[in-house]
Amino acid sequence: MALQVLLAATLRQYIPDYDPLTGLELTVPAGITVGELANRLALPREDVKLIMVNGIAASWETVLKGDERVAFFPPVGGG
Amino acid sequence: MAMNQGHGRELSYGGRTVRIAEDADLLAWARLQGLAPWEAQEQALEQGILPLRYLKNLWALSVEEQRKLAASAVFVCGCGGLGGVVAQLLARAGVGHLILADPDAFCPSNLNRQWFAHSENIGQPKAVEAAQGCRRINPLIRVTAFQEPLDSGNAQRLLVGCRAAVDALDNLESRFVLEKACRSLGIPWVHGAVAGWFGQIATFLPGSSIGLEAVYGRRRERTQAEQDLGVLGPTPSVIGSLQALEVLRVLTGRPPAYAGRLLYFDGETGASHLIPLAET
Repeated sequence: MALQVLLAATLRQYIPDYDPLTGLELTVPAGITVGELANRLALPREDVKLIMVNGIAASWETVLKGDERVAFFPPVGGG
Repeated sequence: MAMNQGHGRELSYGGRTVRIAEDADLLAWARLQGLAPWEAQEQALEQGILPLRYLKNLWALSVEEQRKLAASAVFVCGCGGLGGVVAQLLARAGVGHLILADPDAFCPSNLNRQWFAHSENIGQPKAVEAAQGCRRINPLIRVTAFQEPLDSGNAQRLLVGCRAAVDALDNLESRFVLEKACRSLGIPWVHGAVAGWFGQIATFLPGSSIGLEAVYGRRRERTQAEQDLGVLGPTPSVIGSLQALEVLRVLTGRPPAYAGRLLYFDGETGASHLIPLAET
């Protein structure tokens, strides 16, 4: 099973043709970290503060098996 | 003469009997007694008399919970997209004292989302306009406006006596100023922020080691890309409404829904995500 990546807000512009309803499906080697996944997708780390893997809070160091649902949330700040 | 059970009239609502009084009668009684309207409202509720305008708050709230709202002061920091929504909903709910602060004036680009902005008050101070709007909506409450930014010098004066504060600001630096003030005064605060189709809400408790840095890290400025998302009108309405609900939970002594976790709302897909926040 492939990895599903969900991006929010400003991150969506980094992936051409990103579909917010389905997210992004990709195959990654088992053992890859969330940080390495972000590098692969060329997501700017400084924009992301909140990460979830399968609905649980995660970090850049979280190790993936390759079949998870990974969501990146850049915080917003307007009013 | 004190307000007593002889005042008001009985009404059956939701299978229960409640004593109610109309605004006009409460205001007339307040004038007669030399009381401010909010004092009359508090006294009525202490006697179990509910202002008729809050009838539909029953039985989501009890009359005793309505009294708690009437006895509460809430600080709303920012009177724009989020703050206008929060202030209006808390005024309608019957929160006894709203303290509204915003140094800015309405401009034309506010009109797509800021509830107290209209075509005839462009250029007028937001805090003053929001306060007037709240008083028009509910003459039984007290509304105080401050046309100044929150800083370490005025925080004590603006926030003292408040049971909750609402972060309805539009920049990161001021949000951290509010956090510091709330922590030092021991006041829980409900954070809200928006951009484009997206919004977030989290509640912070003054004694908790989880703070705003769990959301923004060391960043104190919004990125240009985020600012370029703009703000759609419904987004702050959604987040501001969730902030108002959270304040009602806090004031009535219910557990806060967003303490230690952030709800991230994605208006593009309609999905929302609850994200646990880590200690910083």
